[in-house]
Amino acid sequence: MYFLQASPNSATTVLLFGTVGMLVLTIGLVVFIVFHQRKVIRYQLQLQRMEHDQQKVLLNASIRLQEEERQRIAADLHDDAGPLLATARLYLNENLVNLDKTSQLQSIYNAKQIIDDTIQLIRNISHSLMPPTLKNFGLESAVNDLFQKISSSGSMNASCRFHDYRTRMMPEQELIIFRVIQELINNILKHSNASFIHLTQNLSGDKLYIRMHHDGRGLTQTDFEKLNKSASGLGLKNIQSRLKLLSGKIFFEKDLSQTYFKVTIEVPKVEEGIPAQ
Amino acid sequence: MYLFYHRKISELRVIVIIVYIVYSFCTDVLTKYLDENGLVTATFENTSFSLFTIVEFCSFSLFFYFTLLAFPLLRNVIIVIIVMFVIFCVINLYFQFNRNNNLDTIPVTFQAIFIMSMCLVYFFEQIRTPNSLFIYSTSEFWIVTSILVYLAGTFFIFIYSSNLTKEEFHKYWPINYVFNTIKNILFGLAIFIQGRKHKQRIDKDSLDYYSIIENP
Repeated sequence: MYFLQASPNSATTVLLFGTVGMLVLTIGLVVFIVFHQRKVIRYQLQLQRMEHDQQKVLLNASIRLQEEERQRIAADLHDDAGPLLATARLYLNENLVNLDKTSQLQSIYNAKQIIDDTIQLIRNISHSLMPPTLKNFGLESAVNDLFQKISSSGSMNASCRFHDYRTRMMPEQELIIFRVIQELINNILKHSNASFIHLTQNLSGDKLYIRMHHDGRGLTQTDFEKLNKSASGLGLKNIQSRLKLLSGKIFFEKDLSQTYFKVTIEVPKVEEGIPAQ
Repeated sequence: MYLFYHRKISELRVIVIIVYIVYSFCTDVLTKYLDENGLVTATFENTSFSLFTIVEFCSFSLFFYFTLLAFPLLRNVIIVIIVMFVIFCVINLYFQFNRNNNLDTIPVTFQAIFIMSMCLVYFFEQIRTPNSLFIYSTSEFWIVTSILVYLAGTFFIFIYSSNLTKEEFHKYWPINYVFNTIKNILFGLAIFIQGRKHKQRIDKDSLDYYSIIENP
């Protein structure tokens, strides 16, 4: 209060300095707000652009993968089914009626054999596109099947255990998770040189967790993010875009013991209500 | 500016400011007229200042009430403070008749502090959730800036008015005129921006309408 009740001269000084000071403060504040706000907006725009670029990369990866899949099916049909059917046609040509009975029977038998092989081939192609076990019996059975096949091939020891999968998820969700597991196993088989893979499934709250351990060469989260941004790593981009559809996440890490590599998939669970078999 | 754009401006917060400008203009003209004819009395001055403070506080507070939509609690507080402020001003006016000083220092100081705080809240909100790339392309930014500059510039003269002699008061009173002019120029700029934005919106809407007619 003493300050406010000072002598007239000092009151004048305070008044003038105070007014100028307040004015400088106000202008400084407004200028700061203008520049800072622009900085914030620019940062947000940059983030949006980066996100957009990332989405573009994922979209490209998924298109390329789709094309590769089509090429693979086309190659399977052209290189395997095509020659088999052509051979069968050769056995069943018009000359067959002029042959003796034994030769006719032999030709028909051979043609039948080839057609059976072709049926089996087409069934295999169809199963690789959409595993019937997954459709009919659910994710647990399909993953069990897959692991049994890997184990029986003798190349590595594969085991899996579903701890909490009483009711099935939505078919689309199961298919996406199965494809992600397939892609991860494919990568492990191709690059890791592991001697075993172990998969476990758990449920925590409304989240489903799938963890895979292997003792080969693996990826850490940093490697995964680096590969995800680069032009290579098509399979990993595919995993990322598939999980994005489910609002899921994937974590790559090295075990605390530094012996194993661990991959964790986290997906929000939407149950269909059908009991798993 | 308002007469030019009055058909285009429909936003309540800008209308509140326009009402304030009109009231301010009328008060200035009336005071000047009465002053020149020697009709100004102490009672008139007291009442005129207090009324002006009430209108100014209510206008600025309502402007922030319509602007700070992201703070529902603060909006309720603004309404309560407006009511309390009006009551306080009326009581203060009653006691002021007995005093020599004709400027309502306490309400004006409170008003300056409260409204400047609202300006800071507005700027904080703009940093937290920026809506447009150029903040200065919005009318509310210029309104808030003009309010802040005006209140900051006249803050000390209102506080010190009770400590100044009549001569000193008249000597420094032009500071108020300077900031009043700056405030009105910035308000004019804000109304101009608001009117132009509204026109662009109407043009865009009519373009859409014609495109619907041409390509049904």
